[in-house]
Amino acid sequence: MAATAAIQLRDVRFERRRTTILHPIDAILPAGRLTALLGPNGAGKSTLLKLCAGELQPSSGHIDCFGRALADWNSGDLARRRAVLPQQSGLRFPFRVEEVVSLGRSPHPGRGRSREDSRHIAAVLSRVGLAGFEHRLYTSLSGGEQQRVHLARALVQIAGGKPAQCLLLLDEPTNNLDLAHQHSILKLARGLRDEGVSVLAVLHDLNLALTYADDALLLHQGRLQASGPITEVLCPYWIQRCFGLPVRQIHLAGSARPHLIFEPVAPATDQPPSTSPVALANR
Amino acid sequence: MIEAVARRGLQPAGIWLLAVLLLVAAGLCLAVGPVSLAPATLLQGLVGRVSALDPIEQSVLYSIRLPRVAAGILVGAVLGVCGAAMQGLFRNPLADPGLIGVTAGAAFGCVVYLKGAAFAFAGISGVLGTFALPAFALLGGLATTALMYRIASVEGRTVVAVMLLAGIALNSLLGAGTGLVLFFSDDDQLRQFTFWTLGSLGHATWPMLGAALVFILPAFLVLPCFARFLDALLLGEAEALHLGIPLQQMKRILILVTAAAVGAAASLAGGIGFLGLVVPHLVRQVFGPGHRWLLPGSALLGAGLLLGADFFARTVAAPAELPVGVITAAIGAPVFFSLLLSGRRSVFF
Repeated sequence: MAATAAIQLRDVRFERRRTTILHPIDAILPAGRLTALLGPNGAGKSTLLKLCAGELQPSSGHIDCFGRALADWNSGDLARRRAVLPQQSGLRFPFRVEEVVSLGRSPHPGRGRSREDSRHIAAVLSRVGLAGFEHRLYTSLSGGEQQRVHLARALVQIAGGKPAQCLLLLDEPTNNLDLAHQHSILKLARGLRDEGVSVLAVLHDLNLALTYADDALLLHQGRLQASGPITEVLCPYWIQRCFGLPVRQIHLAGSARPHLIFEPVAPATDQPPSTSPVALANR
Repeated sequence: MIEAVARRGLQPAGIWLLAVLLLVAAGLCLAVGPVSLAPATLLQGLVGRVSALDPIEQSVLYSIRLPRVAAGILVGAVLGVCGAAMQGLFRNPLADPGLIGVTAGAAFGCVVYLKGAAFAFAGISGVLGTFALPAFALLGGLATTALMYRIASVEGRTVVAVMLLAGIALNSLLGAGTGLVLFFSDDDQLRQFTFWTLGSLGHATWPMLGAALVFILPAFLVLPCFARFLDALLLGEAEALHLGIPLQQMKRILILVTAAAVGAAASLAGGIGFLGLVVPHLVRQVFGPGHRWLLPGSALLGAGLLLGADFFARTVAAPAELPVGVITAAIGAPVFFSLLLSGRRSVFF
């Protein structure tokens, strides 16, 4: 079981200047699934993602990536299997789109300049809908286009590897994007998941998460409230507890998954769900 | 501009063009002056046919102009290439070695040595004496950079904003220290200090050049290998880390190598302003921000511009000689202002 997990968190706690940001968390991200990381602002989503990315070190506890402790990975090997799309990029230099994306090939033998690298770069650019943008200047693009350039850079970093051994961490990938592009990015993530890539994405829009994700981790005030299949996690009880918003689940004809309607008037949903959160967390 | 040059792959041609310009500037600096050397004589002197030159020409070429041109090339190239590297490290085109305190630290080291030489270091003479001034400048620069790195490193990571702000504070603190030493100096020392603060290539001798080269060479050897790393660093520190780059190690090497080179350059020629800031800027406008071309381009343009400025400084008010630092600042500051106002403002913040 542990060997197949893309990420396994064991008793992971994180504190900064004696303030606990994340209380001990145990969770498993099964490989080959699209997992949504959900919760209100300040719940610790980005911190948890940064811990999984190895950008922050946990104050205590262990994080395994594909069955090996994160600290034990050779940084190059890990970079060829795990890519991260950051929330915001500080890139302010007028690189061409192609150059930015080719930086994603840095951990590979061609360093972005081999013929194979060019092939991968062209492929991911057309995959994120930026074919023909190769020679445009990054700084002249719109916010949404820049976001897609970075997505391409993350994709090209793990391109060419075995999808089942690859992990993509997306920190609010739908930021700055209009409705159509939000869906196209998540469709793309879903497509990668279908190929076998494990994806963990911080998302804000619960309905978007319900439409595309398999599983969910729900954080609230630094604690993992629920985890498991997203349709079970995103029930009115947990949403009301974590977001403080009354919600109704509706099932539309022809749609396999429920939709959430947020209403100012609280419906009667004070009943705890039949499955206990502890049981879900230990799946 | 960048798009057009990059798309056609014109950067190598640009590098050649800069190299030719540098050669022309060097030739002018060697040939023109109170004793002018004909091109044929100059060439014979350069290939080692000493007998073709009369004794005056020999001493002018070998003892005055060649070391001066060599110093100009070394210092200009160091300021250009280290400016580019520092701007990459800080992901901010405003960063340059002067900004993070290396130059001020070197200035302080020099002033302390010159002041102290009167009594405490009176025993230092001969070869040791030649090395003492650059060594003190270099120690000052390195100490400042090390302290700066200490201040700016929080939990093992460099916080760029803190480092830039700490640079401002350190610069003014070291400036105050230098000012204090100047205040207690006699006229003779003051003139030496002023000349050093304004920057000049006229002091360089072969032994000084040799001493400085030891500290400058690592920058020329190491920095080109860092091109890819610097590119990735422009994305952000976290992004560079995700790309599997050993970030902290690379940053440490980069800071050490640039501090040593800039300190040594400052000991050769004093404080030469704006070159480290403006040269990478100009090169980036044409070659694009990729360090593969930016680093060599900045080295060549920095050397060429400094030689050109020195040529101007020597000839414009001949036989008097202006400090070259005044020329570079007078040219550099307006260029910099125009860059600031040219609608590329967004690049800075």
